[in-house]
Amino acid sequence: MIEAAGLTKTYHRKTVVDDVSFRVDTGKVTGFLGPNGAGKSTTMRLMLGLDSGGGTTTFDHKPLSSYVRPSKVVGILLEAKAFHPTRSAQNHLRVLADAGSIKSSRVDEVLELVGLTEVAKKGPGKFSLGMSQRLGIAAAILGSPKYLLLDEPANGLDPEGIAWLRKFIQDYANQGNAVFVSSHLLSEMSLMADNIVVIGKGKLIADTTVSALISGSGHAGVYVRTPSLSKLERVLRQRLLAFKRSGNGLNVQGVKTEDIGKLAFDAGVPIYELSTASASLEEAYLELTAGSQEYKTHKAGSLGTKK
Amino acid sequence: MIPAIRAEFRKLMTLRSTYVIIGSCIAITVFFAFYLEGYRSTADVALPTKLASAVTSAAQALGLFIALAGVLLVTHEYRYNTIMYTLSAARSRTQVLLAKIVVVSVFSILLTLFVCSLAPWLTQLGLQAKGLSLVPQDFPIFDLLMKSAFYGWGYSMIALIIAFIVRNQVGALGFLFLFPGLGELLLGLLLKNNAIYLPFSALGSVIRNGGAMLGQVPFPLTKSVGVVLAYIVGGWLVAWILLMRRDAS
Repeated sequence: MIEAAGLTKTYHRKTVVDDVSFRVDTGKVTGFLGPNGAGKSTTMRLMLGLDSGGGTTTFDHKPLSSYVRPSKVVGILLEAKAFHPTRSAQNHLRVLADAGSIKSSRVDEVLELVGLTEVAKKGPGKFSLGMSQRLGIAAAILGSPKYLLLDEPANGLDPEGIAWLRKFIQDYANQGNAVFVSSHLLSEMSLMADNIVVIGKGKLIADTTVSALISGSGHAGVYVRTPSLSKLERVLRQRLLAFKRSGNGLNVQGVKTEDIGKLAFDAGVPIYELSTASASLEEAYLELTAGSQEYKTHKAGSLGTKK
Repeated sequence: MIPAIRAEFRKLMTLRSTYVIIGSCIAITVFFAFYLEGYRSTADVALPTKLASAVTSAAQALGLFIALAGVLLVTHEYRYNTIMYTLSAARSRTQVLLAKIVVVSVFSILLTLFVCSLAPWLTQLGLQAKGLSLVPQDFPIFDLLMKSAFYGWGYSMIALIIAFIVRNQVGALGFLFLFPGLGELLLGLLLKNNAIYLPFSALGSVIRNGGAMLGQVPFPLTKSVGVVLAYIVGGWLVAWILLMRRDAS
């Protein structure tokens, strides 16, 4: 288990990571989400001791520096293009293998695993982003570490590569390892992550399971469509139930479909549609991080479309 | 520590620039020692220090080139951000620093010894090709090679310290190309006789057998060595403190 406690980083009096604490469990994939500039990469660098700052991170209750061979404990992918452009992919990995006292035969194994055997002797300077990511993943798993810290590993991968990465990450975690992965692909994250850590403006917003995050979203609940909208609203208010208008109906939170059906029946409210509304991870995430975005975009369609 | 040294050696020997540097050193030695000092040589064949100066000239001419290998070894890491792998794979940052010192020391000493051994041999070959012969030579080879090796090592260490402190490739190379010549020349105008205490002046004094540059007072060999070592030890202390405190980027 990885335990990060009180991680803090200040640049020029601006606190970019502010007392962030969370846990990454073994046997699980923990997703790390946050808007651009939220401090995700800095948090990962703090966990590895690459950046100086406050707080501690332990791997199985010990700091990384107390391990003789740290690359056999944690594998990292923090940047896709972190390699010398003319040193061959194979030599790049051999350097890392030497540094971590890893058998050089493992280099060929991981190259084959990520599908880069054919370009092993080529300089990665001309690799595409997807190929660079694969090389980065090969570097991360070189020492067969118990923990993987991956920062945006799916960037630049094609659909087949993303599917491979998802399966690989899940399999890796299922073998009793822990994977801590950040990504902007929320649909992918909802498919592969068990737990989610969300930060915004350097502060921890959520540390929970994916299912709890989604079920706690305002978008989750029961959707009910009726011609007597105001009558149903009155009934719901009397019962102190939270709801909001959604299209031609209402989205009621914290109840089951049966409860709403019975309530409407008792009140004589006709119902045209009654269904469970589940939020997507994206909806839950956007709801959580609203107001935590460092860099905001204009609403779609608000730029250059004056007529 | 051994894995870190092995990794640094592999890093150095899998860089194209390392082979460009070795090739350039050999080519420059052939040009200067064989062609200029040997084949094109005229009046100075009567000097008893002809071969000795071939050794010291080679070391002085190639000090900067040899030091480049160490500078690139460090600055490439920051430029391409492989430093994050290096530091996260090592148990401590001190280990990384020591491994780089060991590797660059071995590389600089071996390459300096190689080119300095080659130079007098090439000079004689050039002279023979022209049909000239030397007067009996004052040629203390062991002493010359030791001083040359110290010069090459010292140059590389100072360059490596600069690389660790500056971290930026252009900045480190700019400093290395400008400071030993122009920088120390300008500082020498201010410091006058004390200019011999500048790092590259003191280093040059070692190989010139304690001899001084124009306008400088002679400096005993032990004192020159002491000044160079003081700069290296002090420089490493600063570089180590910075490496421990700075972010790895």
